[in-house]
Amino acid sequence: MEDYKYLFKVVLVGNAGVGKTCLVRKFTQGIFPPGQSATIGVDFMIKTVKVGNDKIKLQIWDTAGQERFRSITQSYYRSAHAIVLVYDVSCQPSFDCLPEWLGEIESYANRRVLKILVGNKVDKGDEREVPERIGRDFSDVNHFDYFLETSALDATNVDQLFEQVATRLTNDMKITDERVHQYRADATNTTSNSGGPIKLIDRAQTQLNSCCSRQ
Amino acid sequence: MQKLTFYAISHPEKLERIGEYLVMRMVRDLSRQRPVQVKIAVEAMDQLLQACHSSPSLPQFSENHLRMVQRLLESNNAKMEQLATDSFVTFSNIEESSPSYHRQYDFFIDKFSQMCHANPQAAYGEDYRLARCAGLRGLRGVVWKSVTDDLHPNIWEQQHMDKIVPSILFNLQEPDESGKGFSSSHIPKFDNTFADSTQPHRGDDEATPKVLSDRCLRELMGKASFGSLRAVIEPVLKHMDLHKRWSPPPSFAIHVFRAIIYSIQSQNSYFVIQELINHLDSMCSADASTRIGIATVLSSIVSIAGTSIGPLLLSIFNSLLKHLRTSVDFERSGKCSDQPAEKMYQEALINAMGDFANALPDYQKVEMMMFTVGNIPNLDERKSKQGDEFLQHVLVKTLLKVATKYRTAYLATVFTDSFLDTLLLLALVRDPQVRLATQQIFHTLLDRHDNAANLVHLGYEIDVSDVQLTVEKCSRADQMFMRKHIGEITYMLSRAVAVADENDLNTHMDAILCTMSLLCIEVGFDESLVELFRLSLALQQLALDTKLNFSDAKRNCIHNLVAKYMNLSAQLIANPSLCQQVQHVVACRAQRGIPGLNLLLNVEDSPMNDDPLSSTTVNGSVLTDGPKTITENDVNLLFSLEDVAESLKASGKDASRLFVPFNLSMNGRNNDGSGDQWMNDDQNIDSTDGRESPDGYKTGGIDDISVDMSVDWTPPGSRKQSRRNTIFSIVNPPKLNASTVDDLKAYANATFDPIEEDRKEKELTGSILSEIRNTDFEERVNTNESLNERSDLSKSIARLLVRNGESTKVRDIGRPAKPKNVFEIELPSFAY
Repeated sequence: MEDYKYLFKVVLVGNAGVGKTCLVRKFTQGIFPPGQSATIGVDFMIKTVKVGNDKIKLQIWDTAGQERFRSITQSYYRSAHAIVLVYDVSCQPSFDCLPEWLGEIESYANRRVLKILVGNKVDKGDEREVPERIGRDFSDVNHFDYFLETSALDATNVDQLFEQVATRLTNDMKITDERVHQYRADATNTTSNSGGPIKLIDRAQTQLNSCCSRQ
Repeated sequence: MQKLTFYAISHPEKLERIGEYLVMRMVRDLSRQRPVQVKIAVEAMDQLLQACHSSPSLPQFSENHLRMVQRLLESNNAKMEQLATDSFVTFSNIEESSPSYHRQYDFFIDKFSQMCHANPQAAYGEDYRLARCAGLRGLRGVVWKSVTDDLHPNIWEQQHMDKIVPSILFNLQEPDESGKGFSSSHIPKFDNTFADSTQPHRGDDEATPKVLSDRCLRELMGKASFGSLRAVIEPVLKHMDLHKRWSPPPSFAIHVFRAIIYSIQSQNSYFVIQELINHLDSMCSADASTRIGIATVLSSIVSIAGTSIGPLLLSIFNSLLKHLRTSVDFERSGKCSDQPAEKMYQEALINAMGDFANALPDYQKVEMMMFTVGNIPNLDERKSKQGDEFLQHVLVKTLLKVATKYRTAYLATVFTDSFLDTLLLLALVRDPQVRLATQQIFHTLLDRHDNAANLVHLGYEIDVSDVQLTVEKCSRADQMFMRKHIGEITYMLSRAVAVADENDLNTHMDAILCTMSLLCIEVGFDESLVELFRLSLALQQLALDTKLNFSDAKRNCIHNLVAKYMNLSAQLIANPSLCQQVQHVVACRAQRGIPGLNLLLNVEDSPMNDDPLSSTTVNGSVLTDGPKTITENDVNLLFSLEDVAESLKASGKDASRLFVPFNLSMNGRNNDGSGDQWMNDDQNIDSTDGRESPDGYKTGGIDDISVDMSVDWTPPGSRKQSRRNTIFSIVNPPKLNASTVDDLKAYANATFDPIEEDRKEKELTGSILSEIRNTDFEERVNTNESLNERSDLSKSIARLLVRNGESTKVRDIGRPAKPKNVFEIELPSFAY
């Protein structure tokens, strides 16, 4: 019945105006909406991607960057499998706010959430304020799982970003699944191994019972 | 379709498979973009759902149904989402017989919350309002479903409420089509007709997201239990913070909190107030405007919540006072950048307390007043700091606010000894504003017949009946009270006149006159009337006293005050000869034409305006070099003591008290018989009988000592006693600054009688002392040892041994009876 193997929730966060909505639009609908106004609260998109032979469904929650919606956006962190933190390479303040966002993620999201850092708007070649090296360093220092520079305008790395998200999440999931299987198998093995003694005890028990009943 | 329904009903076991098939078809159609077919499938599901609501396989079917709804919601298509919501709402209206253990609404909450924030620009276009409505309805559906289901208490978990509540509030605060800001008029008022809102409204009524969100909010709050209230309130507060909804005027916040208070179970409303105050605690370093907002919201909801506040009354009041104090300190500290805002904040807090008091029953108001008085710092002027004075000012304002809400029944219930003493002290502090406010407190507490409004700016009334006063005979209880306290009160009034501020003379004088008039009206029995006459005559003397460096204007003012009061009371007690005297004096003064003393002129000119300065300007040009005020020699212009006494005697009143001199000395007892002693000839009239004489101590050193020695002899109302009371309360500051709320409660509840307390303590000391003095040492040692016998180890061991021995004996006695052998039991014969 279900036509997908895994469902992952991806939440995009970052300062207002760094291009979160455009990234999502580009990925899900293939369009770059010009003159996009600020997101209100949260927006929701869904897209199915293929990782190997598995169909993976991505629920993408695109949050508002504005301060006033912080309470509603924070509430979406908790259930997220992956958080994509976006900054604007042509806007130093949006990069400077990253520690703040990290703090939020730390306090509201699951501890084992997949963290991805994205520098958006690389198409603005001349206006770049944050060099790639700086972004990469930041992502390394702060233990991000992945770093990428994208452009929603010319579609650089957009698909790759979400593919990476899906692949990594799937791999993680598979590992966990295998572990669970392993564990279960182990569990059954131990049970079967220890079957003998249990049986013996059972027999003793039955004998005892029969003795009693005979009396 | 009918056939399908019939089939499903008659074969409940097939229902699950039908559902599966329909969902499969629906999903396929959805992915192939065939909206018509999708719609048909959804309709079919809905109808089946409704038809089979009692079917045993409904749980399985509803799983399929929910999967379908989820699929529709994931479609990113506004129409499909609409469809999904409608279908879900249908589902949420169905009551399931068997609970569903594993159903998860997380996605629905996520998605519906998102729909509540539908962007006009994005996928929804012009229909974003519809989408928001759908989101709200969906959320409401989830809440319905979860609340009716006992197994889903987790809807109240923080993570869900963090989505649901902000979504609702966001829609509530959004401007409507009119594009205007928030105004509660757009929302139908349920506050008065609460019954309405409990009925589900449908149709056009819920057309706008705003109206709908209002209803959702109320419903949600109504369903919240006490335990889940925190989870609901916290997102509300957070939302207000983030959206800056506190900044004044916080009409949105007020609306929301009113809605909350009206909707939740009334016994829980104190919790909301508590939460708000806690929030205020956490915001205490925030912008003043935020705090003003919170305080305003508090003041607008406490009156609604009033009846249920009971258990936390004092703690709430206490924390409000604490905030007030913090704010005062903050303002004083000089770190405050925005003083006017801080002032407004204090004002808002005071208002909140006033409204709070308004919601309480009367006896609790008295408690609150006592409590406020207890918080007023340090009335001893010599020690008071700058900040204290300001705090006094603020607290007296608070007190006034509370007092205005109180309706006095019996004076004695309000003016307990310590309360009255504090008030009397407050009436004489250095800050003129505090003095004025204290007079106003007296006004509002004394005034039981709404006369104060007419008396606040009392002019010279030729016919007092024009003022339209309500006069009632004074009750016995009040007579008793006044007999006890009139001395203190008149003394306070005279001092208040003496220290009246030159800059704002009229206001102060009017306030004092008003107090006098109210006393005359409210407790107008003979003794207090005579005391008041005595006070007026004393005031006249005060105005004549050349030793005091009063300005002429002030002297005139005092003369006017006396004349006005004499006029009023003479007419009120209907004493014709006294009336005549008053008229005569006033007429004489008018003739003499001293600027500022012509009361008749004022009456004719502008009855409302009795400002002597204005009359000075009127007459100024004519009489520039005339006398500025009355001197002692202008007998015609003064009220004569003998004449007043004569007239009072004629009407059967005991006027002898009039001749007892009135002491106005600034330092009280410290300058006996000298210095400011202004009474000239009749010092020896002041008899030693001391009956109620507030001036009893003045008569000389020996008497003074005797008064001091025997507490019981001193008339209870005398000033000396009151002094002692205040000293007592200063000596015992812990009484006032109790640290815990319980202490304060106990303190507020206890009617504190210092005289009694003092006496008891003396008795106790006396008995202890006499015991030590009279019995000899050996005897005392013996008695003490016998008292401490328990501490002797060997004795206690012996005692234990004895007890133990006894218990074993008891066991031995019990034993033979206990273990009855089976064979000994006499069983009924059929058991064999």
